[in-house]
Order: sequence, then C-alpha cells, then structure tokens
Amino acid sequence: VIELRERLERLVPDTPAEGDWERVLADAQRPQLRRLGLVLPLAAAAAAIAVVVLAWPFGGERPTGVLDRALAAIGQGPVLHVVYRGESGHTLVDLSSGELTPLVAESELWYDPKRGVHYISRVGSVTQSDRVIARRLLSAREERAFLALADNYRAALESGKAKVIGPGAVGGRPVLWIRVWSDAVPDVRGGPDHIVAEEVAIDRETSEPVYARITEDGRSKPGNGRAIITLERLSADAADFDAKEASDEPQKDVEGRTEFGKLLAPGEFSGAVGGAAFWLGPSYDGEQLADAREFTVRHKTTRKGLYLFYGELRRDGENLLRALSKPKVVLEEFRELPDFWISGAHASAAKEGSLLVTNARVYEGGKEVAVRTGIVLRDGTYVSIQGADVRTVLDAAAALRPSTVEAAPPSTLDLATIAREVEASEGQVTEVTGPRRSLTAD
Amino acid sequence: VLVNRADPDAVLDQIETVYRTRYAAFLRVATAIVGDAEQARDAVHDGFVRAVRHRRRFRGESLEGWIWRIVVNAARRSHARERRIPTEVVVPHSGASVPNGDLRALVAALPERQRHALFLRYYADLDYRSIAEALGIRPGTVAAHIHAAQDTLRGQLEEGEQ
Repeated sequence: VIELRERLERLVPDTPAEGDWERVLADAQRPQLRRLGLVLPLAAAAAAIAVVVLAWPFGGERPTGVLDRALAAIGQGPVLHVVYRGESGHTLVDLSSGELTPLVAESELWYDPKRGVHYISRVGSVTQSDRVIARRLLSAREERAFLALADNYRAALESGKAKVIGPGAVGGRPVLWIRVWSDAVPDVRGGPDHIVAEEVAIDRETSEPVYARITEDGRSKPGNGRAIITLERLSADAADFDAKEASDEPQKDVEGRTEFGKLLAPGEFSGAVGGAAFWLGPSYDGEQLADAREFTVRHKTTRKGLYLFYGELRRDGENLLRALSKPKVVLEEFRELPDFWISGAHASAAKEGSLLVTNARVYEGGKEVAVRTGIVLRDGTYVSIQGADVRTVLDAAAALRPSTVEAAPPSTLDLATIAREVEASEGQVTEVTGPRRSLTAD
Repeated sequence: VLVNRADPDAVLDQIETVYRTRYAAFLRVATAIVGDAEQARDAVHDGFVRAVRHRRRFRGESLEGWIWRIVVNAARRSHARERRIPTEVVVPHSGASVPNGDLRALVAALPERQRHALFLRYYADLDYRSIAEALGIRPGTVAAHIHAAQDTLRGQLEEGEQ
C-alpha cells in the first residue's frame, strides 16, 4: 500500500514558521510604483496611458484657453494613438573602445474600441514586439483598461477633478504640471498620511502632454516617469493596424520551460550551441566552472544551447544543488534567440562586439534581487551573462573567450570607470523640475 | 473567516488573524509550488502585501479563500519568473535511490491545477470548497483533480516499487 499522504508530508515538512506582519503592513502602504520589468505587459501599458488620458486638465474653473487648445491638439477621432518612452533604458558598451550608447525603450500603441490594440515595443531602433490583438481576444482586464481610455477621457474633461499645480520644466521645456488624482495613504504605524499622486506635465506653448509620473509625498523616484512623445486621437482610417504578429486565436497561456540536459566537457560546448561557444575558463574570479550542461528553452519555439555556472555547489541531503543564493556568474548561450528568455530579455537589441547591459531586474516581495544581466553577441552567438552587479557583468563580458581558449588576454579598458558610467546613466534620462508643492490630498 | 466587508479596518484585522494563525500553512504550500523556502517566504509576503493593499476589493464569502488565491498566484508568478533558476536537483548523483526525490519528480510532472489542488489539500488541510475558491474552480472539479493526482501518483509509485 502506498502511503501517499505520509510521503507527501515528508516531501515538504510541516515546520513551525512565523512571518513578519509589521513588514507586510509597511510594504503594503508603499505606493505601487511599477518599474518597467523584463517585459512590459499590455495591461500595464494601457494603465500607463490611462494616467496620461485621465490627467487631461479640463475643468470649468481652470484656464480653459490652454485646455481647449489641448483638447484640439489630440483630435476627436475614435482611435487613440500613444507613443511614450521609459526613463530606465539599456546601455550598449563597445567592448573594444568602451564607448557607451544609451538605448531608449519606447512603446507605441493604437487602441480602437472596434478593432482592438496594436502594440509595438522598441529598444533603440530594434522592434522587440509588434502585435495586433483583436478586441474579442483582449482579456477583461486589458479591455477595461482600454475602455477606460475611451470612456473616462471625456468624463475627466467634464468633471474638472484634475488640477493645475504649477509650472516646471521637462527636458528644458517649460511645462505646467497637472495633478490627475491624489490620495492620502494612511501610515500604518500611526504617522502622518502619505500623499500619493499622479501628475502630467503639459507643454506651456502647445498644451500637449509631455511627461507623466507618480509621486509620493511630493517626490518622484528617478526612472519612474514616462516621456510622452505622442498622444492623439485619429480617425479609423489613419490608424495603423498592420503588425508582424496578429492574434487571431485566443491567447493561450503557454508556459515557458527551461530544461537542463547532460553534463558537458569544454570540447562539447560548441556542439551544444551549434556554433561558436564561449566561456570564462575552467575557473573565473575564484569560482570553479561547477556546472556545464545542455540547456533548452521551450515556449512557442524550442531553442537548444549551453548553460555554464561559475560558483559553489552545496549539498542538500543526498543531492547537490547550485548555490544560487550567492550568484557568481552564469552564462547562457544560444545561436537563435528563444522567444522566452528571461535572462536574455531584449537580446535582439544586442550588437556584434558589444555588451548590452539591460535594465532587466528581478523584484521579489518589493525588494530587488541582486542579479544584473547583459548580453554579448559574438560571432553570431548570443551570450547572456548574469552577475551580482554591472561591474561583474562587464568584467565577465571582457573576459569571455572561445571555449577552445584557456586563458583570456587582459582587457585594455578601464572597466571600473565604465561600470560607474553605466550605472550613472541609468534611472533618469529626462531632466524634470517643478512644481513647488503643497502636499494635500484631493 | 466572516468579515464586515464594508469596513476595511475590520478586513485588515482579519487578514492579520489569518496571517498569524495560518502563516506556516501558507509557507508550506508556497514552498511546494516554488520549490525553495526563501522564495516561498517572499511569495507569501508578496501575497499578503497585495491582500492588505487591495482589501477594499474583497467581495467574496471567504476571506481566507481569497487570500489563498492571491498567495497561490504570487507563488505561481514567482515560480515562473525564477524558472530559470532551478532549485531542484540539478547535479546527477550516483548514490542510492531517493524515494522522495522520485515523488518530487512525479508531483512536478502533474498538471498544474492537479498539483496545486493536491498541495492545498495535503499541506493546508483545506476542504474542497476552500480549494475551489483558492483556485477559482468548482468544488466538483477540485475533487476530480485531487483524485486524478492521487491515482497518478499511486499508480506510478507502485509501478516503481515493483
């Protein structure tokens, strides 16, 4: 007789545990300041634009001249067209010269209540995603978000809830800041309320929206704003609904899977990749090449490649595990890009001979996990490098060599300075000022 | 847990009660889903943060069922994000067979719904109705999932022991 319950009990033992309720409360009261993550979900894009549209500063008591011009500027068509740029971009580092090239992440979409959504995301000039999703295939959440754009817009014009809160500048351009909404969030420890607000800047000359951000107690975290390039309403004929990928079938929740295959010797690396393979030698920065294996990513496509782990193995009972809580350096290599490659997100923007330092970061429970990623494209092979920080990723990129070469020549670049410059360029691209504030909620 | 849904403070109190009395069960189920205790703690934390933050949206009958749903989803998201970081056995070991290692693989191979229903039943002692609420499915479907999972596991374990 198989005692299934007993065996399952042993599989995940019931051990006493206490949580930290105070930390739950503290984290819950923080505003939900979403950063652009590994992939910008469609609904998040819609929500970001909703901020812009709902912010539109129309109301009876305010300077209607500006607001009338603003309304005229976006037109009256049924299709919403928005282009916006995130502040937190990516950086290309030329591994020969050390030259840095910032790559801006940009999103563009058209929403037609009859047809659905055409959504494009780009990094630099390289398109990452280009899809049309028919309205009937939008999830209820996405549909609500987009409908809100259409329905709430005029309501916002009429209600006058948006407020002009003062002048400022965006990228040197004079603007007027508009508070879309604000909310007093109680301090769970009994302190003063926190004021969370969404604000939009409009150009003082054209009255066009140029920037949107979320503030907490009057302050905006660097990198959380979005520059609005275009916000307009178009006729149905003028809208672009041609995309590389059209979703004619309901979106299936296709789970991405990674699989680890057999252990490999260095002489077998190229065979696993199907072309040029790279490594950091038998040991790197004091860590052994502890695990080298075939690596497969399955999603809509199946891609086979190579996985190299420089770090420690730890024993857990009968088994050996990679000690991933202290990540050292992990390499993943493919000749053809997987369509689901978390550590290689945005790899299509990589350039031969350069390291693409991405802004892809992993957040768990509101805290950032200390892993940074970069992608090197070399001799046609994409190599994802994961390390604890930008310096680690940059050092590894510079030390990367063909798997047939044991020792790397020393880098001629000042990697410490380059890493600092990369970090300094992250977070806020646009210079934003103003307004002077009075911190009260609506 | 019955709560006055119109009163966010009352809901907050009840969430705290659920947290303090059932934390170990939440952690156990999350550990089963994500396969790593540390990651599971983060998922439970993240789930309760969401529950507190969105407590005004609670409209269900069972607050605990609603929280289970949030925490299970947080664990699923965490598992999907961290799938690139395997926490299961990764290095072949030439020692003796490990029965629970086999069971771990068998459980991992079950369809996700069956797996989660099994975890909630065995590790949280939830009844079918509560599991249904947590997974957003009908109680009858829960029973079918659990029986199917049990049959699969028993069959394969018996096969392996012969």
